[in-house]
Amino acid sequence: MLTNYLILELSPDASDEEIRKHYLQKVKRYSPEREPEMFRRITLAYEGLKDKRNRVRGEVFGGLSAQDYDSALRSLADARTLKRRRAGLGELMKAEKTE
Amino acid sequence: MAKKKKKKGSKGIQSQLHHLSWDQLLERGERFLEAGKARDAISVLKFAAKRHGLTDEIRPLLFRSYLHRERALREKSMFNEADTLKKSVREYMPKLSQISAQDLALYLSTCSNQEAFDLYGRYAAKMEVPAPAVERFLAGRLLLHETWEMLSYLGPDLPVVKDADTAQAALSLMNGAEWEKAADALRGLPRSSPYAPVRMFCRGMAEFYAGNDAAAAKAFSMIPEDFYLKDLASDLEKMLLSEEKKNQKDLMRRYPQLWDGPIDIKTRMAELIRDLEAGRTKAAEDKISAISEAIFPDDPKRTRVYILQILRSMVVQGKMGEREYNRLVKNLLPPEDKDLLFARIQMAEHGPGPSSVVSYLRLLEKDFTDPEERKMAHAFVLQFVVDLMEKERLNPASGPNRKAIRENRKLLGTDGSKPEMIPIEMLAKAIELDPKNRSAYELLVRLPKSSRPATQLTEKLLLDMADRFPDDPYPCLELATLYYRKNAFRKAENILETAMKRAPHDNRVIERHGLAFLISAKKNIDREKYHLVEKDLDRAQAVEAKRIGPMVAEKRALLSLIQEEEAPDPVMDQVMDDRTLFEKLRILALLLSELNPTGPGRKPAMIKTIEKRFQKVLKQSSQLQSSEIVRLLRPLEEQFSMIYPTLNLSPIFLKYKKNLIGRVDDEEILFLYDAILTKDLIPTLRKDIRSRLKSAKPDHQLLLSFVLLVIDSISGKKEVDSEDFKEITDNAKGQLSETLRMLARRLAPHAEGHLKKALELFDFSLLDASLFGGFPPLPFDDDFDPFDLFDDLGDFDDLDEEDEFQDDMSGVYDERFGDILNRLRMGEVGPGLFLPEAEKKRLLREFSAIFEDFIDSIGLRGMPESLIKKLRGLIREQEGMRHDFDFVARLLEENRMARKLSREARIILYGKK
Repeated sequence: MLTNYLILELSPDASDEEIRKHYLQKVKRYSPEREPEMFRRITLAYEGLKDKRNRVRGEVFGGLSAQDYDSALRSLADARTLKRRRAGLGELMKAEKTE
Repeated sequence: MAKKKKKKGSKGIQSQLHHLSWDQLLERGERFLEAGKARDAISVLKFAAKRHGLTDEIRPLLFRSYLHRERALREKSMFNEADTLKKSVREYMPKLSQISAQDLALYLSTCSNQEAFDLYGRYAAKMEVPAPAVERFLAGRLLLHETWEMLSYLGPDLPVVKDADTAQAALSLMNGAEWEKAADALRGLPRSSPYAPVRMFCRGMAEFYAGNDAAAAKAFSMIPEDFYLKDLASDLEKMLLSEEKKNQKDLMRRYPQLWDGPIDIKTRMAELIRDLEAGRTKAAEDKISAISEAIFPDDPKRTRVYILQILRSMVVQGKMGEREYNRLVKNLLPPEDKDLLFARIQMAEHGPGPSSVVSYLRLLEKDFTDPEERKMAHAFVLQFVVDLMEKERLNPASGPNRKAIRENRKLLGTDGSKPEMIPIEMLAKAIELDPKNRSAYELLVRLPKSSRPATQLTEKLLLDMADRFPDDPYPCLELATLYYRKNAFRKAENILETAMKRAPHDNRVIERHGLAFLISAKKNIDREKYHLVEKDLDRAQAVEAKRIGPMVAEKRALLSLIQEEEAPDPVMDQVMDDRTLFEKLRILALLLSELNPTGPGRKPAMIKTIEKRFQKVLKQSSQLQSSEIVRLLRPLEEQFSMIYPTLNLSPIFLKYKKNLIGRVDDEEILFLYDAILTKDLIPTLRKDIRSRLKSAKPDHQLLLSFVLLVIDSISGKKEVDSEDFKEITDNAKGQLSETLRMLARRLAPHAEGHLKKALELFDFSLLDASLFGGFPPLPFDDDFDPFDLFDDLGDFDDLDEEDEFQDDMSGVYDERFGDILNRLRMGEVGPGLFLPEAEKKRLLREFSAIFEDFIDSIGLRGMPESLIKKLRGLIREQEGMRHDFDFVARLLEENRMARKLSREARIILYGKK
């Protein structure tokens, strides 16, 4: 369940509209032709979150429904999208000098 | 030794130089310079200068050589040596007019800002043209140190001065990470501007933030080698394009400012998994905390809870002990969250039935603070329990569930007074909490309903659904089915009309409409109101639902046959006219399923005629495709259950042509077995599998062997354990393993007990589990370890000392059991205490039901015979129990009810299957 939120880069209290908006942004970026695996994950995540009932059901059992702990934990790690953070020139120059 | 070598080397070069002319010396010096051998160049040129004097030709070359040597030393971090060499650089500095722009730029890189700008100011004034390489270098200095006042040393027309204001404005945007605006601000600069590489860098950064990595890398690659941002640009280019994950990660780590989130989370998660599997719980605990913080810094507790939920499967699979798990939970979660987690675990693991969910339902307020969500969750849990009870065919009124219902009526929505009503009332409660939840209604429809209150409540709920979903024909269709079962034909037809209005083009509705007329026809046949049947069949045909065409034909044939208006053959000729082989076979099989010799109007002779016809047509089955045979053998859909006594026609086909199944292709056979598997067909299926095994390809052999093993176990022919399945599952990789899993899930409903669970979870180690497959809900504390109760799995020598066993056994001796025994005993005592036969049989049936529930509740279903016999032995050591069981066993035998008991019950009561 938490994995789904991370894949769509949402907070757990996101509304239906926010969820849909993020989903559309993501599928635009990861089209099925160019990134089929990522598209599949995004779509599955959306299915799990798209309405309140689905979200509540996912919360009730949460990670207990995972039968393969290895795969579930790795999916959780994968889901944590690394966002690009804004850095100024000064910061970058400092980092370049530090090794 | 090194010194000697050096002397020898330099002597060697010098000895060669003696023979060279002035031009040759210069040429050699230049060649050394071009080759990057500055030290050799210096040797040659100094020799030339010594011999011919420090001319204007040699001076610039020596100047350049020393500059290059000085830079080489700096690159090797030999700063002292470089500083020393700088004196020589100055010594050999030619006139400004003789210095090339490249040499000047190189020289300025060794100078302070003031020196550099001053010198360039003089150089530019002398040369009267700007030096692009120098200006690029100075532009870099300005941007790096922001010493814009240095521009006062330069003439106003120089590009580095003219474009400085633009660059300065862009710089503040760059430092503020506003790369897009900075690129825009620099847009007006000409390509020749010394600040142009900065614009390229800004564009690269803008593309990076837009996620266009290829474009960003390209922009970074276009920055000139001599620009001050080149090293940074190179790093960023490599980071974006590197195909080597390690390099990429290393570069990402060097620039953590560019990333929001944990760069190496996957590595850390892999380490966590290794720690857990190796039993390094403390290390795992620390990692879970750190990873949770990294993954979701806003709410790390939520992540810890989620990870702990995932890790529960390690306990289920036996890869982590209960104690270790409890310790992790205790150390990572506050008490409130710990209780919630264990309540969830109880719900997920402790078998179907209300008793497993009440703890969680009591804590629901803490889990869902939003009232609407709380209601949805409550509804979902109730639905979940009812669904499980229906799948496992559990009697919810037995054992711990009875107590749970009694104490939690409001939460569960039922008072438990009538067993059949329990799941329906619970679903009614679920629907009340979440009326828009469609799936609850769909489950309601599936539940068995034999009593009037059950049907009435279902009807009420479906009517509510019809109101709530005004465009949906589904509730109308289900209500129609319900009304037909009640023989309320008018109501059924009215509600079907409503369905048609709601969805006139929906194939389901059209087909159901046709079906409704068939149901009516069947009912009228059963009631011998034959004059109404023809009308029903005409209306069914008029609906033009393709799939029910053969059924209409079959009913017409049945009607004619029953009424004996014509002989069977002409009737059949008429019905079969213009039908495909598939349809003929379907019609005949349906007819045979209905022609019960004891039914109204059915004569054995007529049935024999139909059977002969069937066998004759069946001989043509070689013309059928494999897929057609599959469709004939597959059970009919549930919706036809009201029209035909059985949905499974395969026994009829296989009775007359056993090898018909052999004509099904290998690709289609696997998923047919589970669809038609019944006790009677087991020998036929076994034979078919054995036949296919002889010539099957290895992968298919594996799958067939799996099915055979399951069938043998279900039928009791073979006692299986995990090793039997391991031989097969170990050899199945990739897609083959997935197919095995699918097969296992499909076969699970035919199994019971541990085998059923093992097939559902595809975990055959469960077959070796202890007698008591699950444990009653117990408080989870640090010292509790359920496995402490049993020294050895499967070894029951100590069981008679265990409280656990006594508690379970005492469950058998509940009030009803005691009552039944007393009444049965009284009936045996003698005259004056007569017990009517019907009442005796009723009591024995009730005893059987309680006994079977007991077997389910202790997880005995599907266990090996040897284990069950051990339990029988333990029971018989209790004198009171032995007498009671022997008494009831005798009565069951005398009343011919023993054979209706399950395998497990017979072994306990009689010591044999």
